[in-house]
Amino acid sequence: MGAGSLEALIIIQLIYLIAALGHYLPLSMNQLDVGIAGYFAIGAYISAFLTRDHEVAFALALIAGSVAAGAGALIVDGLATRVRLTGFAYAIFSLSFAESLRIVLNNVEAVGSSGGLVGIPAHTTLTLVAAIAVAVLIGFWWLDRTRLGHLRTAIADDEFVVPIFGVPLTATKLMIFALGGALGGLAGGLYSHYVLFIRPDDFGFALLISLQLPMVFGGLDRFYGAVAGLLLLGFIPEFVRELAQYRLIVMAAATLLVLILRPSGLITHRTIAWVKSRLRGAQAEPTR
Amino acid sequence: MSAAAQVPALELRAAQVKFGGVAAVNDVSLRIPRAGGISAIIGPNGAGKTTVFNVLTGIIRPSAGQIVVDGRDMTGRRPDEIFRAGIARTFQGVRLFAHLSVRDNVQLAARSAPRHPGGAAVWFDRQGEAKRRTEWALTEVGLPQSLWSAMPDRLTLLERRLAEIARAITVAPIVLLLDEPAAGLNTAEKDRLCALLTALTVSTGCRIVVIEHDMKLVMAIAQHIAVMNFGCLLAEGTPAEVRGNEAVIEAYLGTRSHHA
Repeated sequence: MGAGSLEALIIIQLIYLIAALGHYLPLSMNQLDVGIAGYFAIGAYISAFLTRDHEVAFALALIAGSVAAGAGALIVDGLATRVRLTGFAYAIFSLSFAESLRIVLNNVEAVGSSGGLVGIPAHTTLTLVAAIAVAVLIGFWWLDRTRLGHLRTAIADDEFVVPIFGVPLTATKLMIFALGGALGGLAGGLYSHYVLFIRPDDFGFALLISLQLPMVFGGLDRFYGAVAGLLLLGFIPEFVRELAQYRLIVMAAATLLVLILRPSGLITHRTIAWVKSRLRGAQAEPTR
Repeated sequence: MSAAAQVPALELRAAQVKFGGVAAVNDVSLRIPRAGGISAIIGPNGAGKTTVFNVLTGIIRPSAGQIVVDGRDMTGRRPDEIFRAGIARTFQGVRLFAHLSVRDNVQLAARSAPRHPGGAAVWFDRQGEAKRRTEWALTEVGLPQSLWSAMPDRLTLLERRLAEIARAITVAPIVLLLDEPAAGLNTAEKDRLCALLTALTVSTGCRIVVIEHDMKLVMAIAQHIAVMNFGCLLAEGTPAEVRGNEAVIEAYLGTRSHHA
């Protein structure tokens, strides 16, 4: 593998990492919002359109794309929450949003319709993506220690009880949905300014699957489960290149294996509790 | 006594709840007085006791009737608004958040505290204030510090009940609703719980309302008892009055005459 292609791989994986963490936020509350490809597309298109056609500074365009994607998530999830969608209905609703957006983009001349948006200025560098990814990871680590993070866990555990302790449930959920959408949009903006050419069909079901699979591998109980899943899925195939076309079979087998052996993912609440008790045991032993 | 002291802490006026065609709660009115002390709601299974709690905490909207908290009409308000107005509760089966530590469970409620007596200084230190309230509540219910960072599944049933009560008292509620707090406890644990409840009415000044099946326990701790049957309020009064009430003896305490 050449240095250039390794850099390309790392950049794309880091962008996916940011998007996957955005996708993780609603899922970790037990809310099946699978519209991430749509939020990613909003960020990619809006920021690219702003830098290419209106010469807006890259940082501003990136923020605008991110905010627009957050607003998109607010609309989708606001509607879904208002009519109290749950489970499959929620998933289908958010997925149809992403798919409808893709079809609409395929027909909008201003952004190149199905031919795609070409000539996007190159702005995304490895340093920038790495810095943002690190900041996002620190943000998630910090979130777990804040009230909003605790509320996220509480909503996943028992949504019904949360408002009885004085928490405005809908507002809290929407705040997390908006954060997730905004992260998706941020990743989208970084993506379009790296690949320099985007088509609506880049943001279809395949993108959702590549952001969803890490959750299946890593589990939803901790954000670093998603990170671990992404690392496994993103880099291992690159290092077993010799298998050539059999790689996909290997990956499919690995997915099935995880689903059978660890249906909740590799890193779960129980794993964490077990590791903690082992660590505590190891520390306690010598003092006895 | 001043006029303000006469306003009940919590009032249910002619409440009605219908599930389909069935009236789960039918024209029930309750007045929960302000001062410390314990009230009880008793009645057979399916009498509508928990539904009354669900109406009082805003989970179920009554099809008719009013909820008045501290003189303010709270009918149709959201559960979080009713909590911040001073009505806290526990659940029939303990419902702590399974993946938050005992301390985080309690702190989650503590941060929802509405008005702080400390004013601006407290407003800028909400985290610290919530921490103090959390530690106060956990100490108040008698949970040892060694359990504060434990996950709920490590606790015994009594300890989980105590943690749930701690979560409910952090915001210094004016009324504390406890749904079968003694269910599944042994005699020694029940004694400890009774002592705690009586002590809490003094230390927090809140009024406690319990739904309870254990008659001996109810008669021992409650100053006021409401009896429900088939969604209706059958009788209310002091333990002695309720014990002597013909309708109550007939419907709930026993129908010896029928069997004889």
